[in-house]
Order: sequence, then C-alpha cells, then structure tokens
Amino acid sequence: MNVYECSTTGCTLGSRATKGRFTGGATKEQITNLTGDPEPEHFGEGVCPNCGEPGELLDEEYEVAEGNDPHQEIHDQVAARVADDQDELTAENAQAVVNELVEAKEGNGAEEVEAVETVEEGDKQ
Amino acid sequence: MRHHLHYQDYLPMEHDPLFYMAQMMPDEGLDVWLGQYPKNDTRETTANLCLFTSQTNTTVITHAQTIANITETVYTSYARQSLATATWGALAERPTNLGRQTVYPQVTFPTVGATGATINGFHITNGANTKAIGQANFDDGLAVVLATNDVIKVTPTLALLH
Repeated sequence: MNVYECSTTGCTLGSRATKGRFTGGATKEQITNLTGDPEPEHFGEGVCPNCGEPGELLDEEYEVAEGNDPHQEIHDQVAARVADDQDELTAENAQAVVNELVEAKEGNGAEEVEAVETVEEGDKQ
Repeated sequence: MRHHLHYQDYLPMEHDPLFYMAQMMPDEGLDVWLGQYPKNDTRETTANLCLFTSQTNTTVITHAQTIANITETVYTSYARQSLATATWGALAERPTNLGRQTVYPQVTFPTVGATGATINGFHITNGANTKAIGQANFDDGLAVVLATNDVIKVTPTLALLH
C-alpha cells in the first residue's frame, strides 16, 4: 500500500510539528467540498484528503497492523454487560473483568494440557 | 468532526474530572520504556499514533498481549501518524501531584474517504511499528463512529505516576 506525506503549509493533517501521512487519496467530491471548485485539477491517488494538495509518495512499505485478539469474544461479552442497565458491571470495572476472564481461560487451558499429558504417561505404563 | 482525547498510563482517581478509560502498558511496551532507561537500548526517536477497532470502547488488551493482538483501522485514507520525540511537550506535573506528564500537540488523522470505521481508541507503537507501547480507550468511554468526510483528532498524553 502506498503512503504519502503532506508537506503543505497549514494543512491540518498530522500535528503542527510533524507532517501528516495518508493512504489512497481524496475523491473529487472531497476536493470540491474543500475548495468549492466543481472541477478540481488534483484529486484521487496521492492527493491529501485534508487540504487537497498532492502529497509526496514515501519510499517505504506501509502495512496496516491487522492483529487478531483471541479473546475478542470476552471483550464483546463484557461490553454487552456494561451496556446492560440491569447488570451492575460498569465501564470502570470492565478491564478488570476482562483480565480475570482471560486469566481464567488461559489457566483452564494449562490444566487441560496437563491432564492430557498425564493420561499419555499412564497409557505408556 | 470529533475531538479526542488524552492518553494516560494510570487509573483515574475518583476526583479525576475525566471519565474512566481503560488503558494498558503491555509487557512489550514496558520493556521498551526500561530499554531506554536504565538500560541502553537503541534510542527510540519516533513513535506512531494509531487507531484501533479491536477490543471494545471500554476495554483494551491484557498485559501479556502484543501489537499482534490489536487491529488497526483501515478506513479509507487512514495512515498511522508519526510522533517525533522532540515534539513532545515540556515535562510537567500530572495534577495534582500524581506524577509527571508530557503532552503531544493535537494530531489530526486523514479525512475519511469512502469507507468509515468504528474506532474504540488509540495506541502508540514504536517507530518500526513492531511493538505496542500503550493502548487506551478514549477518555469519554465512547467509540467514535467515523463516516465519510469525518475527521478525528487525538491529543495524546503520557504520564508516569509517583
């Protein structure tokens, strides 16, 4: 995936001290919204979606970190409880409950592995 | 347009004016901190500010998890933003006498293109984007639903407590 850096003075992208980055580019409609020009000269790949000016293609590989959380189901269950007015669990305690459930889940997994190993040893005898 | 938030490495006290927000400095992030001091690992001169869609708006990863367990958003035009060490603000008190903190100037992410996303919070990674230094929900405890033409701005704060 291409990543671009916007060097336009006054562009809001990034911070006032650090140039901002973007992928893809602004659509024609976005540039029209930004500038009022119904037929903008620059739009599409490489055009900054925040200011409408062409960005600079960076010479680096850009990959989105598409991580996977094996405990996502626990997060969703806890979030559902927080959202439930009938449940006493609040947002303040949500992370603590997630931590406990994950620890219990991983602890149970270890016990299961230990049990399997014990059986295998018994079979050998 | 939504404006967010503050990143903190502590659990707010009852008198704290902010809403509760879950946050985590995972093991791999603390290792980066300790690698800078007292150890003498290679100096980290940049970091990345990222937005995530995994976990929930009130929960984050557990301490033993890593960047591999965080799903970064892929809304159209999104890119993680660089944070330069030299740009972090002056070290100051974390009110009131809780510790010390530094604030990065507000960071604006790319305007959302065709496809938006629901953002549960933000995380900071090392320069190579291989380790999660910290992850946090937004300090209002809400997810941010981004649609076309929306802009999200984040003001990250890092604090170390006494």
